[in-house]
Amino acid sequence: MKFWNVILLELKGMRVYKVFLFINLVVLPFSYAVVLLLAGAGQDYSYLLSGLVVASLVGSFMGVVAQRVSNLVQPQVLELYAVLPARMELMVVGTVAAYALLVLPQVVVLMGLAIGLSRAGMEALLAIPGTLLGLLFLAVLGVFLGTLIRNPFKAQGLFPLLSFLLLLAAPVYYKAEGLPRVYVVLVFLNPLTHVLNVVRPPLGFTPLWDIRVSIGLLLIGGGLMGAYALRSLRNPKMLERFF
Amino acid sequence: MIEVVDLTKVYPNGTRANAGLSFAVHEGEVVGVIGPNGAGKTTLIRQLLGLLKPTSGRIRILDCDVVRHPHMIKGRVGYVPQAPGFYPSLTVEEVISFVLSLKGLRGAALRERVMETLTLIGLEQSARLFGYQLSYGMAKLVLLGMAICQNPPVLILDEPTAMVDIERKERVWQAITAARARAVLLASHDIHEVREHCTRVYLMLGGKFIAEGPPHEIAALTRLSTVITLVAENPQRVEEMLVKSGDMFSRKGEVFEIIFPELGMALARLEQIRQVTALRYIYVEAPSLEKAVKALLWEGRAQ
Repeated sequence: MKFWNVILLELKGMRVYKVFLFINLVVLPFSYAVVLLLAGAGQDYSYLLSGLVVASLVGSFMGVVAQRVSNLVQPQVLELYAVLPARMELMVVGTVAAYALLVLPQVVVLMGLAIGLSRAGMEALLAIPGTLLGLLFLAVLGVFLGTLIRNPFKAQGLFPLLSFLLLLAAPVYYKAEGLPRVYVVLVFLNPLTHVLNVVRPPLGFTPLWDIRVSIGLLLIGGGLMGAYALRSLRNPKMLERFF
Repeated sequence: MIEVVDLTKVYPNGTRANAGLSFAVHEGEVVGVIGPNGAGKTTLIRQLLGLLKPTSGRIRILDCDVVRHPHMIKGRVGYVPQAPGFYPSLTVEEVISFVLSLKGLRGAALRERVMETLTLIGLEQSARLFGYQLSYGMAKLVLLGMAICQNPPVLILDEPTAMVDIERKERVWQAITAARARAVLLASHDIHEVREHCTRVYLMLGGKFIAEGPPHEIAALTRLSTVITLVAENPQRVEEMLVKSGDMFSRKGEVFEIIFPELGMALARLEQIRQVTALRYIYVEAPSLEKAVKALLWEGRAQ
């Protein structure tokens, strides 16, 4: 029950940002989807749309989660929450869940479109668990970054930069085949590539490498980052090492 | 209720934030900690809240070791932070309701307690206002509401009336009193507030307590302890008299502030002044806690 209260608090807390949210969660991704569908003639629409879903999750979900978690671990907030009858990890998980609920409509619609337009038939539905794994991984990555970079002034610059680098070095809209060897290594090291490699093969695209490698790396990487974040959040002495 | 023994905090960069602090807040007490910025009050509060690990020493709240069990304070200690933070998009009643729902209250019991709290903090007419619509004073009252709605036996208040107007200051203290916490620790810069509400005061400088005791005893620790503020019909005559007598005084327009080493001398001079001119305003502070604190801090820095 506490969990739902935290989610409700977070959702209610976004009322003043409704225009911002509407633009970022509805107008921008769907406009971009329309542009892709109009301008992507001759290309595989489900490839572009699945790329858009993952790219949108990085910007409108992971980045926001990282920023919000970083805000939650500021001294003033920690002081206030220290005496509230809820643990910090619950506050963070509730917050992440609230943001996940907000991005869910665009994920459902755009992935639905990608699945519908794919040539893989019913098998394309397997992209759903892949997308959920990607969502979960990006949530953990956001929380990890938020607990790692607590300096809000650095966070404001670093989070968008990280999102940009993740998107730049991943085959979101382009194909990875035929890339220079050095760039392929960079692409392999990018966790976003592994998210794409889990989402796209069920849509009928050739995996960049064995999909199990990507699932394994996402689980291990997510597990390690999650463990770090949980350890940080459970440690009430968070102000010991600030900035 | 609160017991701190030989508390020392040295940050990893070598900064000694507090050194060998020992004090207790007993049942029924309001204990004040005063001191200039950087004296170590915030570090002390953060240690009490379990957010900082003491380098050495012991903190017990309600007979429980806060260092070993930092989560014990949840719901048992109410805290009002110095900064008037608020949720911009939540209404006053939603904020109080959120805290109480985390405590497990539901339905009618929840609504009843929310209303009780709003009445206690005097914001029943502002229940539907959003955070961004609140003044600093109102935001402070909401923070106080968040603390006292849980009926905590211990309250820790970090400058609860900073940036609060006079009327609301009174409301804040009415609410604190009505909350019936069994022990209150108050960190404040407001000497008048401390003098009025605290049973004991600790004066902090450089991470140490340099004086402690009831406010009147602190005030008596120095000789510069009686201050008369007055406005006279004939300020010129007053100034001439004060210059002639060699009293320590300052004049801002028509307002004189005269400092005497003891009350008797102050009253005698006052009588002399009244013989040469009528007085339009007079305020005697004897002994003056504010001046005593300033003197003690000055002595503390000199040592």
